[in-house]
Amino acid sequence: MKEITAIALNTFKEAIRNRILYVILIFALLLILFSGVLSQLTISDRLQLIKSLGFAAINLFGVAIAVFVGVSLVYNELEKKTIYTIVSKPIGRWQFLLGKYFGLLLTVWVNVLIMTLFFLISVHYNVGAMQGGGLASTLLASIGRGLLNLVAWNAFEPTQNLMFVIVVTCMELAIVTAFAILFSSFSTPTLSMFFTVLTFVAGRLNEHIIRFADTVLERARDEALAAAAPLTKPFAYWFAIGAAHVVPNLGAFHRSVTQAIYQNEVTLWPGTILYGVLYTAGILCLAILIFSRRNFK
Amino acid sequence: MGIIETEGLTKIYVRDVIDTEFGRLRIRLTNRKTVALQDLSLDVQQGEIFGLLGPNGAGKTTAIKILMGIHFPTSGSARLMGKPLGDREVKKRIGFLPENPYFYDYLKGWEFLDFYGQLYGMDKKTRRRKIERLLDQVGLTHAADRPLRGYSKGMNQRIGLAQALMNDPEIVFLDEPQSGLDPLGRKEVRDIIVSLRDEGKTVFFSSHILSDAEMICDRVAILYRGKLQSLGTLGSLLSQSVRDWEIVLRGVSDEFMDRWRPRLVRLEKSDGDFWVIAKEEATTHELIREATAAGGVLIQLLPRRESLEDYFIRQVQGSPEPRGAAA
Repeated sequence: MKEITAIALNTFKEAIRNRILYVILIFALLLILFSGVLSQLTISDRLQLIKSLGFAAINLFGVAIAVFVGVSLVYNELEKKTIYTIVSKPIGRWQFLLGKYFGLLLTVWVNVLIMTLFFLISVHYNVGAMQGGGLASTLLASIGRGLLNLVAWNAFEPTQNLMFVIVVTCMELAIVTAFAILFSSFSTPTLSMFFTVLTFVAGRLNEHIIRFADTVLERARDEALAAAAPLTKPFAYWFAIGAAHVVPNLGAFHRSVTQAIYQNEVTLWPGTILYGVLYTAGILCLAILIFSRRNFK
Repeated sequence: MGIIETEGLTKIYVRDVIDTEFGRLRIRLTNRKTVALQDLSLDVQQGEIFGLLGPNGAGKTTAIKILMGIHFPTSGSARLMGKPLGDREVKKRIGFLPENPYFYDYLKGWEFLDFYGQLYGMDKKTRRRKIERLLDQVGLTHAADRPLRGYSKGMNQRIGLAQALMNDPEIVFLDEPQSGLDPLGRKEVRDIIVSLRDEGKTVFFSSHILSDAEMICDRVAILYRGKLQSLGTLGSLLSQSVRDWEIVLRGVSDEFMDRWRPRLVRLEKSDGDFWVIAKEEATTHELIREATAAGGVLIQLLPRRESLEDYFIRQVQGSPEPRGAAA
């Protein structure tokens, strides 16, 4: 455990010295802060739009951090041969890989926390501004409320349930981070980036893929009935079903988010978290399996 | 029984996209094969300085990488301290400095060593004490608070050496520890290696700088194109017979030396002194006798034996053509 912590903290140190991280973070914070301005364009609930935009920013930029920072972490160790001295130390390769994972995850989560703080401030500020408060006083009050809100999740009515959503988002990012580590344990940064983004998109569209498979099956059944022939499930059906079962069901996480924003209730999250933990563990096991027998350059 | 033993160690590199193994299942996307190491059997004794020598691309680094668990051998086996490779307990008792080390350059010298100390599971107090001592030993105390990014090549090599000694290891593996260092730096590394042996540690190092190896090694193995050419103590490998004699004479006339010229291998004059190489012992004695009789003075007489470099060239010249062996 000590060894994993040492590697994780070292990875975190490395990641926070990476400039890409700050570029991504600045973009995210800008989007979150300007969501109030953008929300004036909507004809429906302004607060809902601010929340949607904020969550989208946290989620997408969280993924961006996991991908852009994560895919080069393991690769750099191999490329710069720093792994040589690590492997000769009394630590297992699995500990190295887990250390890398948790270090990256820590980086992602710390950034989510920063984005969340700005998000909470943004929500409180816009609520205050809508109630007609002065600029300076509203800003000060919203910063105070934002900070307090990080600790006391349900302290304020407008941000009720939002922290649950953040937890769910963190879990979703844990899966994406695991994929970034998995791919980077055997391929180049560019390929890993491509694979990780692809997995994220496919994961988000998971339910659509299943629906697509159902449609294909439906059509095949109709055709079989019309021709009075026995039903053979087409290749496209098996392919889609296979793909849907291999990629993570990130749609489930998204459902938790929409539930919190639009229905103001949070019932889905415990199951989703459990699913996330199990799925992440599976992916990490696979990554360790590949990495532990790998020949380094 | 040796502290390091290898038995028929062979490594064939395959340039590939994916290369991973699960027991008997092997997944590989491959194209080109290179034999980097072929049937290497070694036996290194406790407490000796063992030099793995050979030109670039001879397979030295490959052998060390296999011993360190960075690469897996294609065939053959190896044992460290009687245990198979990769044993955790053994890893606690060895140190390793890779070739041309590149470390986490965002870390400061101190942080860097502290990180490695943590990997050995050392507590904070032990780490602090150890780091202070090591920085002093490698002469980097003044640079402890500077990021490695700003270190020179020599400083990098020294902090790498400190890293390899963090756990007070029983065996130290050093891959080309002197490459890229100036003469003074090389001497410092040499001194550290000798002091390690004096502390009872075993040092296994690779080098292509033969003169350095000659000065400190108890035994050497010479690798060439992946194959072991010879193995043994320097005394047993190098011919003990005198190859030729180096003589320096003063106060003899040019005519006198001109008469001797046909019987000498070389004859040169500088600052009034004659520098002479003679092949035969008898010729040497006769020359000295006659020169002193003619009023000359013998300044220097040196019997020259075969150096490791001579031996190496002799070995290598008899070897077959390369197959494009890798490092």
